[in-house]
Amino acid sequence: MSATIIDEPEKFSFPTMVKLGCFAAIAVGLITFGLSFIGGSDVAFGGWAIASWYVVGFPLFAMFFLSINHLANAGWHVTLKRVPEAMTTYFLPGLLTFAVLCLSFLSTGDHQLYGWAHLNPDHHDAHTELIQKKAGWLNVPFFLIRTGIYFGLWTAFAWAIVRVSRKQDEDGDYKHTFTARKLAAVFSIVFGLSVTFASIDFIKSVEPTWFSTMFGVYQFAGIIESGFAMLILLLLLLRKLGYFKSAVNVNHFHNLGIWLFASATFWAYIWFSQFMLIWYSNIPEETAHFVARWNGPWFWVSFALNPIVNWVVIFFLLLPRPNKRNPKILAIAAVSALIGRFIDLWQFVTPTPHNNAEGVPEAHLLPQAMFWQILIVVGLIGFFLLVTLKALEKAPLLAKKDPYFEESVHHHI
Amino acid sequence: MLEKLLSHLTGQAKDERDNLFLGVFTHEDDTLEATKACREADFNFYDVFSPYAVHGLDRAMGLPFSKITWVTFLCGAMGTMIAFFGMSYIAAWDWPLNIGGKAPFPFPAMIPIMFELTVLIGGVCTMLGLFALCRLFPGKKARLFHPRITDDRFVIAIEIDEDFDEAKCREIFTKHNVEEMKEVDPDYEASPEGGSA
Repeated sequence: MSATIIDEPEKFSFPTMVKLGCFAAIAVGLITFGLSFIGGSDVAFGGWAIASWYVVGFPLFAMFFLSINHLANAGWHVTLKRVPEAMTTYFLPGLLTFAVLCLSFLSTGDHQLYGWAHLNPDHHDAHTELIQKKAGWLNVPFFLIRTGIYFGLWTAFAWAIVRVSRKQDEDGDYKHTFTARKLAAVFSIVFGLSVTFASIDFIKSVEPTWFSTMFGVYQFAGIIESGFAMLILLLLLLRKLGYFKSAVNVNHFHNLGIWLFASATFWAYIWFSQFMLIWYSNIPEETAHFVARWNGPWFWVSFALNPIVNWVVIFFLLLPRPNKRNPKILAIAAVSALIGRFIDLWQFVTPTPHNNAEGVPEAHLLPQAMFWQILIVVGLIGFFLLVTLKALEKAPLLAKKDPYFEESVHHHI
Repeated sequence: MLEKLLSHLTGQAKDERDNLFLGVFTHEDDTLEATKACREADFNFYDVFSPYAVHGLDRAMGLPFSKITWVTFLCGAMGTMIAFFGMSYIAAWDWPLNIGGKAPFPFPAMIPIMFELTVLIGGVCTMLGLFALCRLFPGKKARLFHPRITDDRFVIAIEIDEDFDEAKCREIFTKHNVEEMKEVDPDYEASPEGGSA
C-alpha cells in the first residue's frame, strides 16, 4: 500500500483572535480571583483550588491517553496525537497555579480553605484532635514537598514521552514506539498513585476529617471525562481553523465520542458507588460530608445537577451511533462534561465547613460563590489553552513517521 | 416439516426461489472489491460468506445498519423498569420491611439491582435478538456453499433474477481473481468432505 498524501497545513500558527480570547479569559479570571477575596479567603482560594485542580487534569488526561494507547498498541490516535502531546506541556505552568494556591497558607483570615494548616493548639475539641492526629501527613512543609514530587514526576514523564515522539519525527525508527511503550507502562503506575495522593492533598484535605476510600478513583474518573471533552473541543476548534481537515475524520471523532460516553458512565458509577456505600454503612465520620449536601439548597447541586450534567445528558446524547459522528452533538456533550466537572469540584469544595479564627469548623454555605469561582476556572482554562496552542506551534501537526500513521489515516469504524 | 415452516416464515414458496450464481474467492480484498462491483452493477445478493468478519463488507453489500441496537436499548430499559417496579412493589408497597434502619423506599439501594437487571436483560435479549435477526436457532443445519467456507474461502452468492446479467457477472468475478464460478439451484449444498463446490 502506498503512503497516503495528505494535503493540509503541517504547521500550526496561533491565530491572533484565539490568542486574544485566551488573554481576555486570563484577565477575567485573575480580576475575579482578586475580587473574590471580598467573599473571604476561603472563597477565593477555594475557587483557585477548584480551577488549578480542574485544569491540571487536562495534561494528566493527555498523559493517560498517550500511555494507554501505547500500552494497548493502538494506532487510531496517531494523526491527532500532537494535541495531547501539546497538552502535556501545561505541567510546569500548572505548578505555578499550585504555587499561588499554597499562598493560602499565609492567609490568616477567618475562614481557611485548608483548615488543617491553622489549627489552634489551645483548642481541645474532638475535631481539632482528629486533625492533629493526621499532622504527620497534613503539615505545610510536607505538603509543599509532595506538590514538588507530583509535578516533578509528571513533568519528567511528559518530557520523556514527547521527546521520544519528536525523535521519531527525525529518523522514523520504529524502536521509539517500543521505548514509549516501556515509559507508558511505568507511567501508568506512577499516574495511578500520584493522582490518588494529589487529589487527596489538594481537594480532599479541604475536609480533613472525612473518610472515603474511593476518592482517588472518583477524581480520576472526573479527570478522564473532562479531559476527553477538552480534547474533542480542541480538535473541533482546530478543524474550524483549517487544520486536520482530512487526517482527523469522523471515525476518530466517533472513537473519542465512545471514550467520552464511557468515561462519563464510569464517573457516574464511581460517584454513585462512593455515595451509596457511605449511605448504606451509615458511619458518622463518613456521612458528615453527605449530610451537609443532602439538606438544604446544595441537595439540588450535589444530587440533581451534578449527575444530570455529568452523566444523564452525555449518556442519552451519545447513545445513538449517528450522534457520536455528529460534531455538533459531540460538542454539546463535551461542553456538558466540562460544566459538570466544575459542578463536581464546586459542590465538593465550597459547602465544606471551613475553620474559623478559633480553629472551629463553621458552616459557610455559599452557593453564590459559584459566580466568583466559575470565572476563575474560565481564567485558568484560558491559560491552559494559551500554553497548549503555543506548544502546538513547535512541532509538525502530523506525526508522519510514526509506524501507525498510515493505519490512523485509514481509521474506519 | 421444519423447512416447510421456515419457507412460510421467509415468505417464499420453494419453487418460486431464484437460482444462485456463486463465485468462490481466495482473498478478502478480492471479495470486498467484487462485492462492491456487483452492487454497482445492481445485482441482488443472496449473501456473501466469509470465514471471519470482513471489515466494510456490510457496507459494500449495501446492508442497512443493524436493528440490534434497538433490541438492546429497549430490553435494557425494560430490565431497569422490571427491577424498579418489582422492588418498589415487594419492599415498599406489598410488604414494607425495615432493613438496616433505612426508609421503606430505599432508592439508592435499588440502583445497583436496576443496573444489574438492565445489563442482564439487555445482554440476554441482544443475544436472542441476534439469533432472531440471523434466523439462527439450536439444531439449525449449516448450509455450506463451499467445503472450505469456514476455513479460507469466500463465496459471493447472487440471485439469478431479472437484474442479473451472467456475462457481466463473470467479467466482474474474473477481474477480481475468482477461483471458481457456477450456477446452482436454491437448495444447493456442497458436500463437507471436500472436492469441488
